[in-house]
Amino acid sequence: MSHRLIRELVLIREEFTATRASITYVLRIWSMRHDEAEIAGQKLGATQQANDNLEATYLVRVFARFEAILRDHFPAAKPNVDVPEAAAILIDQLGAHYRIPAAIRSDVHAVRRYRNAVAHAHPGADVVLFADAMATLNRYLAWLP
Amino acid sequence: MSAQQIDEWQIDPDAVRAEWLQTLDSLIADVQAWSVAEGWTVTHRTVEIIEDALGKYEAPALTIETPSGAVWLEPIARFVMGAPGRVDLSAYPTMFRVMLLPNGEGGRWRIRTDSGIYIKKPWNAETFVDLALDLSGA
Repeated sequence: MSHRLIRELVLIREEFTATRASITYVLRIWSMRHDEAEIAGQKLGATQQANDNLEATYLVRVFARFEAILRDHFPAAKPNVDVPEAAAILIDQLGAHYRIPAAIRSDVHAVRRYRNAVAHAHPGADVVLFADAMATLNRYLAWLP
Repeated sequence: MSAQQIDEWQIDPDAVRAEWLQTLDSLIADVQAWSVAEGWTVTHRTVEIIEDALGKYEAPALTIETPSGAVWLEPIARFVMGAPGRVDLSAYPTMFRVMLLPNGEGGRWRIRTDSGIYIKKPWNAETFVDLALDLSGA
């Protein structure tokens, strides 16, 4: 089953890499083809900004999906306990239930802190690259039945 | 397989699918032989692929147990941008990966990282073993 959960995050990576490739292509051809119908009227600066923020944008997406997976999974793991509101508690309670190694849980919290920093424009958390975030979240999901 | 980009709406789906599956069978056979030569366990399975031009079909895939972890070899699609097909070589569960893209020259494959960098090594046993260990050990 964890294979299926991990594939849900892989689908988001497919979107991320396709979007990154598309924006990179548009930026490369901008000077020659900026009058193409699909991009006419768009600002170069906004496109560059989208490119700069793409990793962080998709990190928020992938973490949201990860959190939703945990929320869906929680009632089956702990039938008589309310699903925690806070992501941190959710991660720890399921982690304890499935005896997920502390190092993996700690890495997931690092992703969560960076997600919070991005989502709330609150600097301070260490930057986590999208690929590393994916790997971390997948390592956690692999422990779920 | 022709490296030339084919208009996916003007094809014979059965013929293209059959040619693609033949290409995959050849890749799977190579990777299985290279893995077995390393003493690694290989499990055959199939994945379901749905493409607008080819419909739904089953394609062969492998799970390879290396000393540093599991690696998946999974076809993704025949019709992708810039190449006549794509197969992912991924570590499980991290899903760190490289893409294998056929270049249409005698069954050769190009190796592309997620950063868009092409690894300038030939696709052969040595390269596969290095990639499998690097991906699964990352």
